[in-house]
Amino acid sequence: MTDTTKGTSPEGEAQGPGTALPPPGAAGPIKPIGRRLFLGLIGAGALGTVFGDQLQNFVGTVLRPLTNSSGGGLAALIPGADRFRFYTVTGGYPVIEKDRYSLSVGGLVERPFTLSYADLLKLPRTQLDRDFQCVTGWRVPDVHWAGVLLGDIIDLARPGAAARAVEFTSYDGVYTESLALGEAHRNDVIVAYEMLGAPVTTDHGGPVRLYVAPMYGYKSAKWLKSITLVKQAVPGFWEQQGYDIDAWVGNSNGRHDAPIS
Amino acid sequence: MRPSHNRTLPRPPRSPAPGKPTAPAKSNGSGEHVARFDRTERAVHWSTAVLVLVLVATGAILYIPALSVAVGRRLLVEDTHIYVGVALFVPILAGMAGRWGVRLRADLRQMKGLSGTELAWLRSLGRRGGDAIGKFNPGQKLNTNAVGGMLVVLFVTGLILRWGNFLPVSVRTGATFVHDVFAVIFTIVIVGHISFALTHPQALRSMVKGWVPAHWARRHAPAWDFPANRPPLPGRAPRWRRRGFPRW
Repeated sequence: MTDTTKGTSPEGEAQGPGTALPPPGAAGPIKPIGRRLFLGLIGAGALGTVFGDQLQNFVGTVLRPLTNSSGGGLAALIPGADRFRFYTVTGGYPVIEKDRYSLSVGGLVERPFTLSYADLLKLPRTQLDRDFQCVTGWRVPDVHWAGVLLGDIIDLARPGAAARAVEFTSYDGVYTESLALGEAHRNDVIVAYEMLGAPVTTDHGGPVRLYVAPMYGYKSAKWLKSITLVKQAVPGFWEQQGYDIDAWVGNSNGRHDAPIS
Repeated sequence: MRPSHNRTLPRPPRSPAPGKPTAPAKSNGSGEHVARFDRTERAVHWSTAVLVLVLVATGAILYIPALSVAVGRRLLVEDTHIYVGVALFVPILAGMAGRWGVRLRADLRQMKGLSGTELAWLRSLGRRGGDAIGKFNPGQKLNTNAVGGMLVVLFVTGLILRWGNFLPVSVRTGATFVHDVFAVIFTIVIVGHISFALTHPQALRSMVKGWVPAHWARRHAPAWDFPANRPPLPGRAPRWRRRGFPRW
């Protein structure tokens, strides 16, 4: 490197065009700022991965007044905010009017029937304030749910002795899920028509969806179409992709999340 | 040491006589070209650009509820995001691997540091120290490092999200958080990068066609040591001219 600067170049007398230029390096020593930026970002990423759990909790707590009522809004797009992600496995989502909604209950039962939305509202109402935990890691705390106990609906149909499990289908035409008969009778498993303190919206699987509180969100099938009692359940949509059939929060899918509260 | 990888690329029909200094009237808008990016660099840039755009688009679909709902097909979108992400560094690693990556490696070496004058240029937002700007200005150098660093972080956290089941859940939550934060910042930086490209057509063209006009290079990259910027050597023509039209 030459150490000349513009104006004092020894080549200055050569007045040819394009020659009155400072040679590279004239501006002093090079500081490795670029490299520091590159490595600094990687370091920040590593630190964030180790401590991001706490940071995320903090951000989620700070933003909760903005996000918890609606479960949405622009504040929910800030990384770390508690928020629902809307999942649909088809190209869109089915829109079903409440007054045209029907839920069929059948399979190995003595008395198959269908329920309208109004029929559901007439059945005994159960309310839950419970977290919604996704198997991909996000959780929305203290969501208000209301609906009918799944066990009550099943018992209305009088399951046969051979029935061991319950299969669910969705109005999206693709999604399927299942529960063991015992799981289906838990008092925190409901056919929900209210969520976040209001009727379940279409995005969230309305007008009627399943809510299986103690299990990861993929069990809580959206746009619930049918309940079928079977001898042995066929694995559901995500379970065919490798998810656990028993989807207990904190004790399945290799995850150790805190239990639902 | 003069970097040997910068060559003036004369437009074939009116290639200047070898060894002669370029007259100002000719060089100024005469169509003289300076090679800025070779084929390897452009191939790496554009293949990475396609991968990144797919990642930003599929990532946005996964992240923004309204888009998730509108597009659906989550499994397909997820798989696309994951496998395109896995392929993210294939172009640059392949580009750097062999003899074809000489110029790419040389250019990347230039990214690591800034001189005091370049820092002054950055601090004054380009009002001072313009004479010290070489082939890459300080903003471009920092952008390269920022984009590179963020892509490494997004790549590693992405691997953790998809295949990190053996890690403690706090690490995976942290990785999710970092992936989200870096993705948002990265998208903003990329939007800035594209805006600069669209408002600086000559610079953009150098990434499309490989060259910039010499007069543009003298004005915007005065400290860039490309051959036409040097005084003619006494005696023999420089080797790059004797060898004729560079094949790259």
